[in-house]
Amino acid sequence: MIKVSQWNKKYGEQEVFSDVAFELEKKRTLAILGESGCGKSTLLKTLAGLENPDSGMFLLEGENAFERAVHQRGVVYMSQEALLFPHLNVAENLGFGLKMRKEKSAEIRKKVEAIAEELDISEHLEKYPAALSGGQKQRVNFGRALLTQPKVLLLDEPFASLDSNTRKKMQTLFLECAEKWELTTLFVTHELKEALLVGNHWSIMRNGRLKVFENKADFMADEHSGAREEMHFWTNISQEKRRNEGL
Amino acid sequence: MTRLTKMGWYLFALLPVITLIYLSLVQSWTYPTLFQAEWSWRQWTALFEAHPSLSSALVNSMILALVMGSLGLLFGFVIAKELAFQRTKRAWLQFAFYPYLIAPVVLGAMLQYYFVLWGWSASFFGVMIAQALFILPFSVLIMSNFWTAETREYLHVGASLGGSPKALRKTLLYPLAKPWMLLTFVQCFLMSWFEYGMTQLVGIGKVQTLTVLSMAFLKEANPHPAALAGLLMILPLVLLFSIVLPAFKNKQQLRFAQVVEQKNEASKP
Repeated sequence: MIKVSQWNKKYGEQEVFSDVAFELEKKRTLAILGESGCGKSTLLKTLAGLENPDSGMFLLEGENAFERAVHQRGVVYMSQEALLFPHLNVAENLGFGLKMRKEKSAEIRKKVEAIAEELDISEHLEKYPAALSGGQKQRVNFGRALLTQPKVLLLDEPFASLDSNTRKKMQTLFLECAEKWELTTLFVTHELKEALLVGNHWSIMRNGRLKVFENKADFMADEHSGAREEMHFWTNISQEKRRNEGL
Repeated sequence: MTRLTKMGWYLFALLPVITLIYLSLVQSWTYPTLFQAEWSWRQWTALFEAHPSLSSALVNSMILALVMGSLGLLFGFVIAKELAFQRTKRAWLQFAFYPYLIAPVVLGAMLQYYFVLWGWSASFFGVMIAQALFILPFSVLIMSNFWTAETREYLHVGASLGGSPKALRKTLLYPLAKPWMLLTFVQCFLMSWFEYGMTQLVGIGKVQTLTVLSMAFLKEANPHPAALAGLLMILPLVLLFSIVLPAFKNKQQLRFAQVVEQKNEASKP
């Protein structure tokens, strides 16, 4: 379980977010919906320890996460760009986290081959990142994070740069993996549908404030979720279609 | 390109080197006769005898260039990193151009007063400091091309995946920085190796490097030892272009070829 409270961050005089607080049970996904520049990425980076918050508390499985260095925290951050290491091939990228833990080469290879099979990238193991498509890169990025078995996985609009088909496939893959690997995740997105699809808890980040909802209905009812406009749009389309068919 | 044209280009490129070799192997050459001269190994065999200053100049140049190359590498790497994510980065990088706004020799002239005052004038240490004043800022300019937001993101991802700072340096930072580090070292080495004006000014002719000595020989209208000094001066370039860079380039080309081959395979139906 993770518990965050009174989480604040400023750049000089400019407030990035303030008084962020939420709790998340294990094996659950909190979807964070927000527009560009609302502080979502900075929030995730501070939780991962890549940037420091000005104040706040972060309990991870009952322990103060601040007491652990970034590499010992078990919180993995995945950005919008796959950021595969360009000098390592796919197999080496996948096994990077395990190598950092000083696991044996044979063991790493075994795990890498297994995850590659699961993510359908077995045939690309010896390739370098420059030879992969956007979707393949994100699969490798995802596999690289999964192999470290993170306590919390932070996804910062991971599928935003993918085309709609690949995006759908990746969303499905995420849901399958989240269940199989029992992931606890914070999934940042600016797409309402994606937030509804991947999350089991929902929140909206706006002007540096995070609003967490009790349930999906409350989330959809909020004026800033965009759900009402979306439903209104499809209702109109549907009515128009019916009218046309009637004529 | 025909074979003849190709050979013509090679000859054109190598002509200065051939001239230096020829001049270092003859004596009693008189203008305007081109090739009528007495062949002799005297300049070469006398390298450590008749011209002890030449061998000591070679050692001085080598030490200076190696120190400047290493110092430039270290300084450029560390300072560029420190500047990379500062708000004042741009201002500092503009400041790094300052020694180039005024010629190094003018900078040397401006500093000469203080160097005399502190007893650094006519000393090896003084020359080193003078060279460092315009070589080190250049090293920062080169290395700042490596320290970008993308590099920081790679390191963030590596740390997030469990890499300790030490492990990240070994597995990510140095392999990614290698081409820039090599470039910085070579550039700083060569800047020091070919430096003349400031070295002459601060060293007052007492700190002899190959460039200083070559110019002295030329002023004396003594082309044969000057040619030998010139040949010694291009020695690191020959080594660099014939051994170091091809080895590095081959490795890069191999990686590039692999990627291209993989891309081609991927695009096959």
